[in-house]
Amino acid sequence: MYKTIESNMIFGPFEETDIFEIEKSNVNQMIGQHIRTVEFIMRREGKQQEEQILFIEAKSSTPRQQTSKIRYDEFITEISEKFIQSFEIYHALKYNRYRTDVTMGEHLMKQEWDKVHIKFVLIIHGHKMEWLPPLREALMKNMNIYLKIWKSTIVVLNDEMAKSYKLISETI
Amino acid sequence: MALKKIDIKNVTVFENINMEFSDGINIFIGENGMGKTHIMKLLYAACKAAKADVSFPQKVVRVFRPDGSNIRRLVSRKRAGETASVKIYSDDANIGMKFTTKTNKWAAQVTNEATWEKQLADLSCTFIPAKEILSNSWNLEAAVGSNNVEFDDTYVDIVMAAKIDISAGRDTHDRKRYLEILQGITAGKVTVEQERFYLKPGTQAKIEFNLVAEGIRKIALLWQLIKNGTLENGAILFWDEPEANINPKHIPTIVDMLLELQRNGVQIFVSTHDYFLAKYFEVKKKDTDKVRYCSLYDNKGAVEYEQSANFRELQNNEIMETFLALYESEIDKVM
Repeated sequence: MYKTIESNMIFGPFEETDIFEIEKSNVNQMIGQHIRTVEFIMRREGKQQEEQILFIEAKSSTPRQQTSKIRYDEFITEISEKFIQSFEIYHALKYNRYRTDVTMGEHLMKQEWDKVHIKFVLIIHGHKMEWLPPLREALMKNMNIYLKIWKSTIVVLNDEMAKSYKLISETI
Repeated sequence: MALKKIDIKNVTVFENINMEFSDGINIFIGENGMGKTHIMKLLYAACKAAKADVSFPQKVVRVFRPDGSNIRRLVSRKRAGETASVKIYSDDANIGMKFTTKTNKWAAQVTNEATWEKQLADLSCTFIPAKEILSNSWNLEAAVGSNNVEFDDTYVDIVMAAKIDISAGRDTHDRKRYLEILQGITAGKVTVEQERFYLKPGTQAKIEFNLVAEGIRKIALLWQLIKNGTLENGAILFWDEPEANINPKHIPTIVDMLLELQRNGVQIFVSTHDYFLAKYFEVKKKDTDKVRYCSLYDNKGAVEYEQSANFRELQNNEIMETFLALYESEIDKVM
């Protein structure tokens, strides 16, 4: 079973076959510097038994728009790039663009893309729920065209919400 | 002269409530039926009772309009056998009244009326009701007086307040600034001709209020109250649901205006259901501004309240609960 600790949150346990640890994989080393990736990618079943692919990024804090708009905008750009580049890398691997022993869970490799629901998930440890909607709106605005093309969506959660969706088991 | 406190016992939804106010802006939030408007109307009636020819209980009857003009209809239905009482305090005076289910018309027992009138003789107070009325103001006072239509006094009074001009000559620097800001939204000035209200945009022909969007009419009303001197230092403003029919993009301007009025000595009472309005006060207030949130909520059948200088610190916050419930629904739909 797969478990990992990110930003003081324990993710999992998940089946290894449902996981790709993109950040720790050798793909980053192959592609080079300045690549931005999420923590990991996972496959799971949604409430209506639909197939979901989640691109999971964890943070322990975020800049506040009122305090520093520049830093906030940089943050939105950073997270957006992590989501998009992770998505691109995932597809590059699926279509064998790299000859490599990358360990991606077999369920992730085998996904039928006409049926899967794509979600870019940002989980922020300790955030009050009222701080989440503006972040989600900002990310959705920034990635608008991309989300439309791929019929995907963004989810922003705090640790409590992530627990309720069984993405994390506990916080440290 | 500010309103400091209200004690209510056994009146409408209130069993026993004792509430203190800020000299600045008091923002009431709470679900429908928690008594936000009732508190404001009681305070308003007390302010009006500072005039020698206005009786406190009679004004209460006129702003609540119970059947038969009987104040006894305001006794709490849950404790009908007990005496109802209201007491309102200013800096150094108070006015109170008591009544029961046997009290006829507005024959409540009043205390300290003379002192109240003396202390607050110069008080200017205004109540802006939730529904805009200036567009239907022609002959309203006479129609109400003849019992041809039923509007409570908050509607009749605001029409009168908008018509009068009690300003001391030329516009002050502050007043000019406020008016310019509001004219940025209304794109015109308010004029009153033959008891009817119009908006005059620049050099264009005047537009009758009926043809102006309701949200713009409300902002035009604020313009008029500032222009005619009603909202000056020492005045008290009551505004029931300012957000109704207003484009959300104008909410920050309204909040700025109210904060400015507060800085210039106007005590303000606002009731709201609107997240933007409630939140913008928190965002835009300075450390020196006096803003107090008051959340009225149901606790096992009794209306209680909590207060805080910060919107986010309220434990019982129906606006925030609704906002977060929407977000939870949004996320649940995709997860």
